[in-house]
Amino acid sequence: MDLSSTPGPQPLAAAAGDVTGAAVSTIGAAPDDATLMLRYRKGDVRAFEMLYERHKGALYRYLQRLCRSQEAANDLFQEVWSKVIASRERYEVRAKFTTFLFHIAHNCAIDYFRRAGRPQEKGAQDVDALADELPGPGHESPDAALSEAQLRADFKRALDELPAEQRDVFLLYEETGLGLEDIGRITGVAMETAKSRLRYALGKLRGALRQHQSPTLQSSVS
Amino acid sequence: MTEPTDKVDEQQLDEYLKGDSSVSRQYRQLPGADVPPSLDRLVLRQAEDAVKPPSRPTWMRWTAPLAVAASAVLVVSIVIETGVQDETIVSAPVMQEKREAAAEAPTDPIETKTIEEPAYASADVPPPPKLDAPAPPPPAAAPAPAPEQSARAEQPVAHVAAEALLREPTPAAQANSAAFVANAERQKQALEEAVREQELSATQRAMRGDQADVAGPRDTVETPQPKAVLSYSRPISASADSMATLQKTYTDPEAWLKDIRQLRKDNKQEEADRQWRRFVAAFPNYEVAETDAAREAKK
Repeated sequence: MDLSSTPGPQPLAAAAGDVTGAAVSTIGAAPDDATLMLRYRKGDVRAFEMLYERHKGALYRYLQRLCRSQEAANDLFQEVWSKVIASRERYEVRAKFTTFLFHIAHNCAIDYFRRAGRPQEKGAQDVDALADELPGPGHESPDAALSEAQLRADFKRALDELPAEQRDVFLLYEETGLGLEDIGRITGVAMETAKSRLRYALGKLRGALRQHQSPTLQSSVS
Repeated sequence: MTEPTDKVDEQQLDEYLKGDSSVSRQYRQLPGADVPPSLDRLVLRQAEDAVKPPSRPTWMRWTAPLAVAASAVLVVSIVIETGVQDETIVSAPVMQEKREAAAEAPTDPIETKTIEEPAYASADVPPPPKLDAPAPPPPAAAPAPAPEQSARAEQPVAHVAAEALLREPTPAAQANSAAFVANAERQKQALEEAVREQELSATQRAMRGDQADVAGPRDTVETPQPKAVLSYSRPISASADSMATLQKTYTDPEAWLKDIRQLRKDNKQEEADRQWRRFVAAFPNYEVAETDAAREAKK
């Protein structure tokens, strides 16, 4: 199976703006990301607004969950878009705009981690706060019914406890829908390295889910 | 909490990469904060400002029109000034050449009228009134003054023609020049009269000024010298003798009387009378014998 070209789950990121997607876009469809960026380079602010609306949610979630800080996410979100605006004259349609955008975001996040120190130990407090708001430690009793909130809290905890590199790859895959090759290009590693990181991340997250699943559903967790 | 499995087999990863999996579904159910509206406005305003042309202050809008207007005024003033200077530069040599040509062709009444303007050393001496000389017919040999551009080129021709007319009159030209000579004589006399009147008035003014300064006895022999210097350009139509007398400035009354007597001996009564009148005007208190030959004959 060709993993490099395998698209992501198309969960949250709007993949309609891809360069490849533009060629097969139907008549009357929204313009692709590259066209919008080129229009914005010529002064079309409306094109930028469309581009922004298309990618702002995925980018914000990526930054928020990668940095595990609302304040840092706000700062990085503004920094990333400022760099996109500043680089509009140099923008060339050589890759997907999503790759271009999240490459900037990844670099900004790396700079943030360097400034803030070690990021892994920092986010556990947020996860603990989220767990405290949830009703009862149900997972300690095998007979207790697991609520969806408890499941989400555990999953969030597992996500936050991932190493930054694995979390970065997982978030990029989930938010952008890019293939492993593009994710490796964004993170500056080889595709196999990105694939390995994703595999480890999936194992940890699946383990967190497995604790809350009934024995009948155990086999369906994969 | 159990420890997560460190390794996931390739089959499970492939299934995840195909799309729908419990991990992905659970991830999408995580609560996620939306982008704050203030952050939206901040980014969109930044994007708009980046492509908006920089707005200039109000006063900057007038700089270009003002610069153009100032440049236009400057250019026009330079052009006007340059044109005036060119006219001066062009006309000065032309006038000089006209004077030279007229000096060598004294029979041309028009040029004589132009150049016979005495240059007075005294600033308060007004120039003599211009004479309305009768317009003579145009000379055959000497052409009328040409425009400025052609005057310089034609000047040698006029020069040669004037010299030929004056020095070596041909029989054909003699008939034409006879009328001009008569006209020139009349013109010369009129100009000399005007010059004389001007000299007399200047001398009298000078004398009055000296007398007011000195305030001494008037009947002394040593009369104060007139300060006015009667120097003027030589009328080209005047004779050499009369001009020598006219231009001579006397400091000694006796020498002046001697010259007047000599003029009368030479039978130049008119010139002698003119000098006598000048003498009387210059030295009104100088005693001259009633029988002195220099005196003007009583009519």
